[in-house]
Amino acid sequence: MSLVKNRKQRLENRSDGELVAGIRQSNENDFTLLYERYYQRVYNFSFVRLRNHADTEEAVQETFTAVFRSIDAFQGKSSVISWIYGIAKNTVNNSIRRAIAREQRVERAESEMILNMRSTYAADPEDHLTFQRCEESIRKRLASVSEWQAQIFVMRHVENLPIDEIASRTSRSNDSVRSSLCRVKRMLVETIESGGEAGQVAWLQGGGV
Amino acid sequence: MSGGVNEDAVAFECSLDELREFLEADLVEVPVDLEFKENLRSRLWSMLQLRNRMRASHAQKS
Repeated sequence: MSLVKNRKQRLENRSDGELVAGIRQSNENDFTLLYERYYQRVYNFSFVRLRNHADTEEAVQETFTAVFRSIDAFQGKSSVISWIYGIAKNTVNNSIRRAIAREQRVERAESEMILNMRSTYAADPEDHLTFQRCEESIRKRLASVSEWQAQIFVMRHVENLPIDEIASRTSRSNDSVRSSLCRVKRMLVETIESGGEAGQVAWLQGGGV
Repeated sequence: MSGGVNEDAVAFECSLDELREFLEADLVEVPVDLEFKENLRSRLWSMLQLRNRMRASHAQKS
């Protein structure tokens, strides 16, 4: 037992430079140790800037991929920590730039959509009515969902929380959270589809009579 | 997945304040998806093994 403990301690006491050398020799323990040593650090650093788990996971993946792809080229001119930090910083900055560009595209698309909708409403009051009915039926269906299911939906799709955290916050299992999300999503899709049909029927009736 | 990174291009851009900030991120409690973490670890290790095998085969040929 103490031998195992001593070995673990020896591993944990190894410097970053020693671990890099071990990784170059295909030592999986050294690889895992370096990964474990920096994973949470890189994750936290990225999350503080990006504020959502999806973008953070992407940035963490890009950072570690770049680190391990270029590990042979690392010459030790700087410390391993500043090298990894530099890569993480560049990756996060690129991610922020991409997010800003994406947001601008969405804003442009939204403005165009509002303009189109206005012209649609002006031209077709029936279409306007269909949209209103659909919106109303979604609201009604959402109100019929239990409070905890609505909370889970908001945590996942508005606050971008991971399943683990939602499960912990709501004291439910991961599977229960996943199945609840599926149920709510399915219900919303059904509502939109049936709302569209009801709208079409109303439109046909109005036009036919 | 992105390509390699030149050490010179990134390492010397970091000031002490920035490194301190990087280390201070340890103090923030951010929950992580452990499944994602393990999957990424596994994929990265496979990538390293593949690269090492290719390097070894290249060395044998030359």
